[in-house]
Amino acid sequence: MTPSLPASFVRARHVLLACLVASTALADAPATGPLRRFALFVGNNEGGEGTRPLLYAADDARRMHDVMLRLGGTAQSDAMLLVNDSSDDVLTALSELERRARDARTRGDRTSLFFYYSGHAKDGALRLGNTKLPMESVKARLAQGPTDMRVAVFDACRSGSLTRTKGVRKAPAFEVETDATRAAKGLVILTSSASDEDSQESDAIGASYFSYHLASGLLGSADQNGDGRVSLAEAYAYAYERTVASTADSAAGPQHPTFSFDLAGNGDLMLTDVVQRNEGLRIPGDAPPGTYFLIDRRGVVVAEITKTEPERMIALSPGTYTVKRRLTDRLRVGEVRIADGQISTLNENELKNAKFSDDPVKGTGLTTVYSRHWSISASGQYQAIFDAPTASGGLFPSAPMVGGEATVHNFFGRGFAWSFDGQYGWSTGVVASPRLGSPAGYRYSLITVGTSLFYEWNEEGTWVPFLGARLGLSIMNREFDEAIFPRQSFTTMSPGVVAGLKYRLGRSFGLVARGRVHYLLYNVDETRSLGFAEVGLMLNYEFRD
Amino acid sequence: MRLLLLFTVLALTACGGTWSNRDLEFVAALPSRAALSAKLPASATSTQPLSRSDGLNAGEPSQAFAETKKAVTDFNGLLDFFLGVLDTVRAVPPTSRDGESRTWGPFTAKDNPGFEFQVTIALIGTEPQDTYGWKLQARRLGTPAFFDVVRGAFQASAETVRKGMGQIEVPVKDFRDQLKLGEPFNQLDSIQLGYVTSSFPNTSTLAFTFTPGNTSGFSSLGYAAKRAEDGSGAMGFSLKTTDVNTTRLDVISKWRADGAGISIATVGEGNYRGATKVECWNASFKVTFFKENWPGGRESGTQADCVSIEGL
Repeated sequence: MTPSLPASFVRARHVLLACLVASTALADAPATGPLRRFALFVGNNEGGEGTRPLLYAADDARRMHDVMLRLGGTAQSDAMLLVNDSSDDVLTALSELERRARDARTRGDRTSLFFYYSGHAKDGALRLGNTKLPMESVKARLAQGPTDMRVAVFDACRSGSLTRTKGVRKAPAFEVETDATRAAKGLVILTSSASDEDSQESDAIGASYFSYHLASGLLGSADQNGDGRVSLAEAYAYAYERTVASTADSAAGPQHPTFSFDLAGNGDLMLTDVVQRNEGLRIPGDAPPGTYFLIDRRGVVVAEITKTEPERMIALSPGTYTVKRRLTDRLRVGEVRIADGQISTLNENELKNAKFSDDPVKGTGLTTVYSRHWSISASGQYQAIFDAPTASGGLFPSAPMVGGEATVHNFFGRGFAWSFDGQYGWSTGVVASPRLGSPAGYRYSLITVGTSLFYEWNEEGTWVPFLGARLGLSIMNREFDEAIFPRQSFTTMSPGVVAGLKYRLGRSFGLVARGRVHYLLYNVDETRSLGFAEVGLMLNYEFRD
Repeated sequence: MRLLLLFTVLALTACGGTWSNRDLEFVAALPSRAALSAKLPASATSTQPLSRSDGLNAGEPSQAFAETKKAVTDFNGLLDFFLGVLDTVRAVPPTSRDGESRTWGPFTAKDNPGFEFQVTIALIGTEPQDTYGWKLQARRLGTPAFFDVVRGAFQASAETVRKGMGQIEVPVKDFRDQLKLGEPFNQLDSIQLGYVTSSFPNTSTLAFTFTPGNTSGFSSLGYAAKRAEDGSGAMGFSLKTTDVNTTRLDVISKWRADGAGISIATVGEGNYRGATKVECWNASFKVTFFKENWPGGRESGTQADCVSIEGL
């Protein structure tokens, strides 16, 4: 169990970590060879049975991967990113990096390994999809690893409450040993929350709180001493404070990151070098103090930095960002552009006042997207029968149809939708047979009802493809122009597949192109296997909170 | 989930239907009242008031046309007796299909409690043309065997099953003791109907054979109706009576599409054999010529004003 510290001891704890690392770490000791930094980043949104999918674990891993490659001195060839892969893949990747590390040590290099995991953990094991990786084995593997320095970050926990939490069911705690008496050397472990806490995600930042703050700190926000570099101690201290603050008012309660270490040597481990990158945003010393939020084009906060007296630097990747500063009565909002390989300087005077209602932070909205919700659609389509034309002896005519559909999205889990539909179609046809001579014309009508189960990909995107199965009931009728012929009808169940693509016109409306292919069994005059295809367009409205 | 299960079960049990292209061929092979009935010109639907007591004077409403109209009405009414049942049955899809046959029923007979009836039609040959046999049958409830009420045969034309030639027989004598029949049929032994619809003029002939000693005074009665493609038509009937003066009376009426026509009544057998009455009328159904050929017979108008109707 990982004890969470009272707030009054937080600062003392950070100092303790800094002192221990400074007095024992090997990382930057100048007496030995160059430091070769290896890194493995693992993210998996799925946790298998008993869990519900996370929204941002994979993105957390990508983000951390990008930050460490840009600022952490890790070469592209020395880093591995595993997204939604299995435990075997993780172990294989770890073995490969360890092999490379041994080779580097043989050449006299100092080595470090940065292991990052974001995903589910339950019953003492990391959950990677339907595979498991026991925590103890991971710790033992890292403790005995060949690198001089090992830093492991675990962003995982039990599932939670009404806020977006890392979703596992109530179970024994995700335990990370924080006891400093273990014999393993050169290992630091950071966890996102205490043993009895949930690790929470947020749509506003599009990430888990801990990973977001850790990444933001590594971009420069955590540079407490202003030397342009972020050490392990600084990163942890920053992530701890910001995570606790961000989650203090959440329904799941405050989240307290933890750490454990077992180190020997001296010197601190520098995780990122903001100055050397020479790319990002500089907040000059004369800018008003306060917290500045950097928001990307999606309306998602990608970093934040608290400015005091000295100037601050945050190593944003090239792009255009919205800058927001929150005052007591208004917002200050503006735009900055970070050019490739250049440092932009923020001019606070160019920010404009904005109302709180015009907050540029929109968030990803994924929680809503992936929540169970209804949508309704109005459809127009055309049904084509896989048969000869009725004028050539076929049984059923093709027909245009109109109808409607109601869908429950994410009903059987994320992406799995269940829909009910009904259509009415009409047309004309003729029965032509040699015996009849002249064809017998008729008016045709068709009613179909059906239910579909399908999977929607990229629900949060503008284009949402889907594919599934449908079971339909078709009721056909025809009334002949000649009074001597009786009205005829046919009713049949028809299984089929449905596929389509939704284009979001906005938050709620969407235009859907849909196709269906069905089997149709005819069994009156004879038994024949027919089929039909339907193609159509739907105007869709989603009821999302 | 229960609703889904219920929906699925209901839907599965609802599969099937009456969607059959072949049914139409069988239905078309059955005779219909519309195809066999006699049709007067459309203008004849308005009632002509008869203001005279006999057909003496040209320009007065034609008594002969009024009698022709009544004969057509009677003829069509007789067709209704046995073709009406077929029309009723044909309005619904067959109850069962068995290869080259279709069966409607059995249905409960409303007019004959304790009985049920069925209609069966079968394709019984294809050379030289498709030939169908059909029956309207009845049986007492609880008994296995059906007996024929109406039976018919039809040979389709080379082009279509909608047209052809056929015969229908109502063997009244065979089932008279079992089914409850109206009074006129209690005095009949059989009804025969023959028809040709494959070429113009379409013809329909009806022949009634009466029970010996019946009270109607008839021993037999025959109708013949013809319809030409241009809308002209003819209706003839021949009746035999017990009256020694007019043992057999033959009447033939013909009309054009515009309504003008001619009627000739001749005593074929009896003491007045050879007596003939001719009456012509125009498109307004007014007499244009009237003549009785027996001594003292009357004559009015000019014979040249009579219409000439060929081919019927």
